[in-house]
Amino acid sequence: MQTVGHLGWETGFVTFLRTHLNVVIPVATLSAKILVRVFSREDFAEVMRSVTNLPLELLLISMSFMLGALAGISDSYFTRFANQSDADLFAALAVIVIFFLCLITNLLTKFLRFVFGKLFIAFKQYRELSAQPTIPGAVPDIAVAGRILWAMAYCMIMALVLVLSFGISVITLAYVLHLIQ
Amino acid sequence: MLYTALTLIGTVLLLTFVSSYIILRAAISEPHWRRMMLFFVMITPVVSVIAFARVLFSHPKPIRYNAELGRIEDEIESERVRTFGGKLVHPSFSERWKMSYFYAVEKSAVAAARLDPSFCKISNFR
Repeated sequence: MQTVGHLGWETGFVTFLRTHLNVVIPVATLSAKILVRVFSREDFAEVMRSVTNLPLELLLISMSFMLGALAGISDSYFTRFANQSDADLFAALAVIVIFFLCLITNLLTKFLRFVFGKLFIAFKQYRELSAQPTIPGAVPDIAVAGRILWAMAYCMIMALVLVLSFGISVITLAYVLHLIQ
Repeated sequence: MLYTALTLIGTVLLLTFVSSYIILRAAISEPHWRRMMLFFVMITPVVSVIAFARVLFSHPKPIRYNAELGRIEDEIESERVRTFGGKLVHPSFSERWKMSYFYAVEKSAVAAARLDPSFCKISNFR
């Protein structure tokens, strides 16, 4: 049998990973996505498209865990129910519910891309208008400040949509992990 | 339970801020504007909780509709369609703002008329 020397800190780290899977899976997925895209030298528009899909992917991970539970991978899942039939029925219902959550999250992701488009255009128009020469002493036009105001509104809407979609996916994943762990 | 709730909120906020930074990095090329917009993203969860509480416990005044800002939003939307494709979204954010503002004004006018019927005559005269 082969033994590996202990560093001392790895036991605590592994315990943290085991007990905080609901944090580790989303953060590790996001980090891996960003690192893969950055190391492949893709532009930020591509990274953005990949990151906006993350809530949907987390829900698909949750669905995979539930399908695994249905297949009998997790013993602790079955101990929560009185009999096998109840456990199977609950897992099937959970998969259907996660599917509907996927539909909602997909709509939110589409809306997020729509808001991104608006934000991108607001700053494009702002740059074009700012580059134009102005008459000294003239009253400042609302056209330039208006773009920034709308960009602020788009940022706030974007943050709310992100919180909502990540909220749905992270809470679902945490619940599924609670069931199967 | 509380610990789990806090870690979930922390995770959601962390994912939101990192994703927002990447989206802002793709949309805005000026670093100073990007930092400012990121600040707005960071305060949004707190501000929205306060705003929601205010809506529940009091009647906040609607923001007055500005036709010029509405026109700017329409210009942004039409250029978005030209650049990224797709359809014009109807009603747009500005149209929703306009409708909700006029609805709030109408509602307060009806409430005022119920309290004082002479208000109706004054508003009709105007």
